[in-house]
Amino acid sequence: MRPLRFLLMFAIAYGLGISMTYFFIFSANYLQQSNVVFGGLIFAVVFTFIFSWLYFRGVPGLSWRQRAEVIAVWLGLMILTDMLFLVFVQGGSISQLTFLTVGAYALQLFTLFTTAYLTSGGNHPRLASPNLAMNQPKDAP
Amino acid sequence: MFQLSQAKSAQLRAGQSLVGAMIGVGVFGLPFAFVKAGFFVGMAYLVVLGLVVMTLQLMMAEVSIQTPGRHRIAGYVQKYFGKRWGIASAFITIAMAWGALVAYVLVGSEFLHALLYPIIGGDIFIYQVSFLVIGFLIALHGLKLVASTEVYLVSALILALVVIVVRGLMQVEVSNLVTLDGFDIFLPYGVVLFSLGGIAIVPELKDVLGRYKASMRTVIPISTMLVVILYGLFVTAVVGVTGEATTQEAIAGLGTVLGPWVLILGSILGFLAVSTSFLINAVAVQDLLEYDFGYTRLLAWFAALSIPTIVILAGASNFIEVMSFTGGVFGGATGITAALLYLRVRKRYCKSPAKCFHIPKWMVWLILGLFVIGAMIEVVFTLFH
Repeated sequence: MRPLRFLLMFAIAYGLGISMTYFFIFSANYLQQSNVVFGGLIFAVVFTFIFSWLYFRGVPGLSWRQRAEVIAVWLGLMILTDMLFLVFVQGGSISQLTFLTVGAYALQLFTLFTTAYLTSGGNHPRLASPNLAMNQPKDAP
Repeated sequence: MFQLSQAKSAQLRAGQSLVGAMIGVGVFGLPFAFVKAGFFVGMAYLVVLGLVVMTLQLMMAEVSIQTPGRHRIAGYVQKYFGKRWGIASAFITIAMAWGALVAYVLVGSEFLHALLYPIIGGDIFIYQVSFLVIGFLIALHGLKLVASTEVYLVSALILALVVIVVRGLMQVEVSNLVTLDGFDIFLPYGVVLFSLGGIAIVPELKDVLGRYKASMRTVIPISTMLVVILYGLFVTAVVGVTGEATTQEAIAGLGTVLGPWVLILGSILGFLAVSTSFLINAVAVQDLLEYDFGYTRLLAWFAALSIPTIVILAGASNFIEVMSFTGGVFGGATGITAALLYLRVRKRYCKSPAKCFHIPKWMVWLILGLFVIGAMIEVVFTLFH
C-alpha cells in the first residue's frame, strides 16, 4: 500500500488545492465577482487528479478493493482536513457545510475513481451485459 | 544473589503487565470527579467498583484458563456465542479504544499546554490538533520502540504518582476532604470504571504465566488491590491539598500549591505515559481492523483516526465527560461481556465448584444488572446534562 507515499501525495494535493482555493476566494472578493470562487475548486480537482494518479501509478498490483479503500481514505482525510480548517482556522462549525460542498466532494470522488480506473491497467470490474442468446430458455418457441 | 523462582518471576511479570495496563490516564480524572461528587462518595465508588472489576477480571481469567488456545475477548465471544456476537464484542472494544483515544488527546494536550505555554504560547486547540496529527502519523508507521518503552514509562509514572502522593499527604488539610463542589453523584461511576479498565489484558496473562496460568487467581486480586490503593492515596493527596480548586487533570491545581516541580514532573511523565498509551491503543484498533476484519492498513488507520478526530472537532473538550461516558457505557459493556462469558464457561467446563473460580450466580446477575443500569444512566445523563 505504501502509506507514506499516499500521505505525501495527499498532503501535496491538499496543500496546493487549499492554497489555490484561498487565492481564488481573495481574488473573488477583490474583483467583486463571486463566480471566480469556482476557480479554486477546479484547481483542487486538477491537483487531486494529478497526485492520485501519481500515487496509483507508483503502487502497482493494487486490487480493485484496495483501490476503493484508498479512495475512501483519500476522501475521508480530505473531509476531515476541511473540517479542521473550518473549525480551527475559520472559526466556523461543521454545520456550515452546504450542498455545494457535498457537490464538490462528489466531484472529487468521481475524479479519484477516474484515476483509479485509468491506472488499473484493465484490472477493474466491468459492467458486463448478460448474454441473452446463451441464456435463452430451451423450450422457447 | 537474590533470585526468584520461575513461578514467582512469572507471577511478578504478570502482575506488572496488569498493573501497567490498568494505571493510565484515568488516574488524572479521579480527583476532579471525586470533588464533584463528594470525596467519600467517590471513595465508596472506588472501593465497590474496585471489587467488581477484580471479580470480573477473575471471571475473565477463568474463561481464559478453561478455554484451550489463544484468543482475545472478541475471539472468546465468537467461540461461545457465535460470529455476530463476536463482531459486536469487537465493536465494543473499538468503541472503548476510540473513547480512550479522545481522552488521551485531551489530557495529553493539557499536559503539553501546561509545559509549553509559558515558552511558546498558543491556544489549547493547536496542542490538541498537533497531538492528534503527530500521534496518528507515528501510529501509521508502527511502534516497536514505543511498545518496548511503555513498561519503563508506566514505571516512571507510578514513581511520579508515589512522589506526588508522599509529598501531597504531608500537606493534606482534612477540611478539604469534606468540601463539596456541586453534587454530581453519578460522575465518578464512569470515570472510576475507565480508570480501572484493563480487563482486555487478562487473556494475555495466560501467555505470560505459561504453565503457572492457574496463579492468575492470586495475581489479579493483588494487582487490582495495589492499583485501588494507589488511586485512593493519589486522590486523597490531591483533594486533600487542593480541595475545591482541584483542576480536571489534577496536576495544574496541585502545582499551584506544592510548587512548579509538581507541574513539571507530573506534566512530563503524564504526557509521556499518555502518548505511549495513545499510540498503543491506536495501533491495537488498527491491528484489530486489519487482521480480524481484513481491511487494508491504510483504511484501518483511517478508521482508528476518524472518529476521535470528529468527536474533538464536534467540540468535545471535557475529558472527564469523555472518560465518564466511555467507562460507563463501553467499560460496562465489556464487563457484561466478561460476566456472560464466565456463565457460559462455568456451565460448560466447571462441573464441580472446586475446579473453577466460583461465585454465586445471583452475584453475577447483580453485577450484570449494575452495568446495564449504569450504562443506561450514563447515556441519559450525557444526553440531558
